[in-house]
Amino acid sequence: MKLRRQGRFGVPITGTLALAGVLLGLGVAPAPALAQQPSWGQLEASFELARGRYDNELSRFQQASYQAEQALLDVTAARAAGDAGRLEDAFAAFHGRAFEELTQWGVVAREAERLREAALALIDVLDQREVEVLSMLRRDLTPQSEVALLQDLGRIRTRILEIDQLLDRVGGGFEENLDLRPVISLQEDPRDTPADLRLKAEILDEQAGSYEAIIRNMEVRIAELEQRNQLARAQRDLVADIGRYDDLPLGGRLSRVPADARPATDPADADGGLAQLDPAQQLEFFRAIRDRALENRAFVMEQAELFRDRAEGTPG
Amino acid sequence: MTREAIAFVRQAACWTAVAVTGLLGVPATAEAQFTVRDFVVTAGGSAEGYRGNLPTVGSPVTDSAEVVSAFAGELALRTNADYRSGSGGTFLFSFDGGVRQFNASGFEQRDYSPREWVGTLDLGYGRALSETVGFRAHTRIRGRELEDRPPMPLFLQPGYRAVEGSLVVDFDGPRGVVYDVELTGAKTDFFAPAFAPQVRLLDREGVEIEAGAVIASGASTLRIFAGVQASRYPKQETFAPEDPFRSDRTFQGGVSWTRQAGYLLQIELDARANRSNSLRPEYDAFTLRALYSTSLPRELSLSLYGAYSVKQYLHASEFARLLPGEEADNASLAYVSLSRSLAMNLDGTFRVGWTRAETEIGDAYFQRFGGSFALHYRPSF
Repeated sequence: MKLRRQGRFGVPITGTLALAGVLLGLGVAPAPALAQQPSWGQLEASFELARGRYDNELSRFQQASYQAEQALLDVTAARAAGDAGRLEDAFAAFHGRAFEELTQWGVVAREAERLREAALALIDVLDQREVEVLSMLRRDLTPQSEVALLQDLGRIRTRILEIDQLLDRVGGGFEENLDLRPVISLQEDPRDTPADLRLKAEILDEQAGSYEAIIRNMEVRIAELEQRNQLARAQRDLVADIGRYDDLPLGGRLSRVPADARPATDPADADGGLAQLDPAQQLEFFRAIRDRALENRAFVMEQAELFRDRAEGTPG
Repeated sequence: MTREAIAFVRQAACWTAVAVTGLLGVPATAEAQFTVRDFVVTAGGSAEGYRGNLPTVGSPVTDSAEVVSAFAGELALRTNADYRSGSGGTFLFSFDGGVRQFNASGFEQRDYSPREWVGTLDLGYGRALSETVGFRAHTRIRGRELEDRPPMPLFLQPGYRAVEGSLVVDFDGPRGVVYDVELTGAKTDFFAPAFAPQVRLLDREGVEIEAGAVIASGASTLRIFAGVQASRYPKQETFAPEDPFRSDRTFQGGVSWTRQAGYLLQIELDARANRSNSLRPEYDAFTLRALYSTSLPRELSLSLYGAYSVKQYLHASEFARLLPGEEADNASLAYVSLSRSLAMNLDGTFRVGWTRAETEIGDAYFQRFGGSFALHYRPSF
């Protein structure tokens, strides 16, 4: 019986293992050092990346905001026309747009937080560099060196000023930026008639309804995401539990197991800022938006109640 | 435990300590972020039955029982974490280890109490090389030890240590298709007790290259892949002086489809053709796998895992075909799992399963069936 076939091939197993180890080592070894002292260039790159993301998301927000304003104009027009069906459609469209606007504002707030962190890290390095240059200027220098250092100093100070101005524009962290989201706040005018006050109360009621829609939408999304997380957890547990003791079909390679199921991002968000967040961050994000919408709804309802009280107490 | 196993556990513990210390010791920078993705403590018990009194390499004794049963208790820890450094790279760390204690009965000679110790440590590093090209390096160390190994039909894999390293490059192609190429090297050494040195026949080492293309569309992802694996078995002789040890090439290809909507579904079909300088282990096989999870009323989650394998050896042989680590590769199985949250951070899972697989000796299939209950505790940090 023929038990063997001619032919032989080398197996560069040791080489592959060693190469993977070396490359992993290269990744591991310098990284802590880099993490301790990121270079000026790296921090500039991180800052510019964060600024690009922020500008991009801000642009999306401005677009969403414009569309929400247009939808509100449609509501006003439908109300003026007295067309109940059209008004209902316009309201539905407005609620959708208002939701998108607020969601996108949340994304902007998150990117603003990241940009702020990157900017502060860069300013730290620029401050250190400024001190170093000033220290060097105190030494005896040739006129050429002094000019070069003064030019360096000028560039550093200009850059710090630019970043400071950007920080003023960007504001604080995520929560602070969410606070800045404008809520309709109608002021009482001494010339307001009871009809004016009732109209203001109605506008605020509509705004409360818009927040209600946002809250419902967020609660649906939170429930969906929690469900997806639960499913992904159950699937990971199943695969891990039966694979742990080699009870699972591993495929052609010892280590192969089915990939962990990750909760999906909403396809509608696939090209938006939410796609960048992992499921836990998405959950945190939706909860923050919902909580903010709850606060805003309470605020406008309180205002509406105030206007109604004033309308009843004001001579017509 | 054998001396080799103890040494390996020590090495693995050192690696784990180095990894954990390294990750925790890395200082945070502006955008640096350490995230624990999952941390799970699992405790559970199961009742299982085994059928099929087949030959096996690892057990020095035989028993005439055709069917045996076993109760098993398990304790395990699983975690994975990542660290995003300020320089744009991401370090990955994961560990999965546990102990399973059996209390087996039904044997003619005596009752056995096998105990399995397992641990897997993964370390990885990935970063984007450009806007369209990504790179990952990954190493895995896995160890397994088995005490009081029983005879068939209670098949438990012998202990081993395995080391693996892989390099992956992925890049964006036209029309949103992402291509990947992975080079992997792996080496497995089995722990042989003094009374069963033949277990070392299962030692193997190999290298594999695989290329894939991923097409994502909405909630669905399709991956097509093909690869070739070269394996060497340094302890298995071919009895030919000019080419004395067995070496195989495995050609494989397949397709996997994943959909994540209100449910999670993964389906994979792969085909393999194993060719060797020894005719005995040459075979063709294909496997269809499916993994499905969905929600049920009363906050229950249902997960199904199934695999159906067909394997055809190309040549009849009177000699044993030794197939280390491949018995599960050619298994058919089905698992049904129901889980739900029992309290904050605590999930309970009830599971039933069936497996039909080869022992380390090819073309001989045993069956395992049983049910289990497990608690998964995820503490808050």
